[in-house]
Amino acid sequence: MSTSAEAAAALEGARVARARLADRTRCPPHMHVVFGLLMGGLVASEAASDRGTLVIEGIIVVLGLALFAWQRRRLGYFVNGYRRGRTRPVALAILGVYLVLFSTAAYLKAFMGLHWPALVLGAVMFGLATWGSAVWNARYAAEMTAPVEAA
Amino acid sequence: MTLSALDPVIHPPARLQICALLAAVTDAEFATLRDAVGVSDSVLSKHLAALSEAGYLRLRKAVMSGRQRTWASLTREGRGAFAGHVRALQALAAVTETLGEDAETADPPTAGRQQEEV
Repeated sequence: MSTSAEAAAALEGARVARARLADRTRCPPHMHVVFGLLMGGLVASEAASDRGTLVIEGIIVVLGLALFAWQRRRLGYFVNGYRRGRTRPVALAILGVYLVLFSTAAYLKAFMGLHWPALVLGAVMFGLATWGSAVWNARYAAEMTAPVEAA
Repeated sequence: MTLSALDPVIHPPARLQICALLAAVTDAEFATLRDAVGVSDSVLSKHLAALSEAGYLRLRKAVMSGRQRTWASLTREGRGAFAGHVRALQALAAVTETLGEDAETADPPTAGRQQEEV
């Protein structure tokens, strides 16, 4: 590295390479809806009987894994949702909301015999997860086009 | 910050770009890296091998759609080395901006001493 200008040029080159990848990172809206359906489905599954809940959850988990494998093949890369950066708070918020809503649905079913709240809570989870997925994706795309950071 | 803070393994522009890409993902496929960096298969292979030999990169073969593909990911050591290299580059680049501002207000010898300290 002979000049400081070269250092700036090297960092800009790295940013440009990331920006090329950023074009692939923007998910189409229907992918956020699919993610929302999976998360909402997990919560809403509590509306079924105990055995039915397990079956539905099993199907959703398999569908989720298949979706991630397909995305990985299609994009040519994989990103951990809980990666460091501005996306992590969003991922943790989605997880937190899921745990609260799922626990609430499970509690109402187990101790009060109420099955229908799970459908309402599932709908709420669907909306929040869809929105959260879009926010996560927008933040990630912004990071990919921003100047390269050391962290 | 000194020039010695720059990592000679990551120093070539293509390797810096590879590391920058891999630092932003969990892992990436060979063709994805090749397209993003804009180099040939053979050039990318050489850079990946150099990074792998330094312990900065992990290479994994996987069969997808009946074809064997190579996936690369940064090791913990690689992420640390990349972060250190980027910090060194940022410090070096910042000197340019500082010197540019100083050149308008300060005398040249002062600016020269600052550059020697980098």
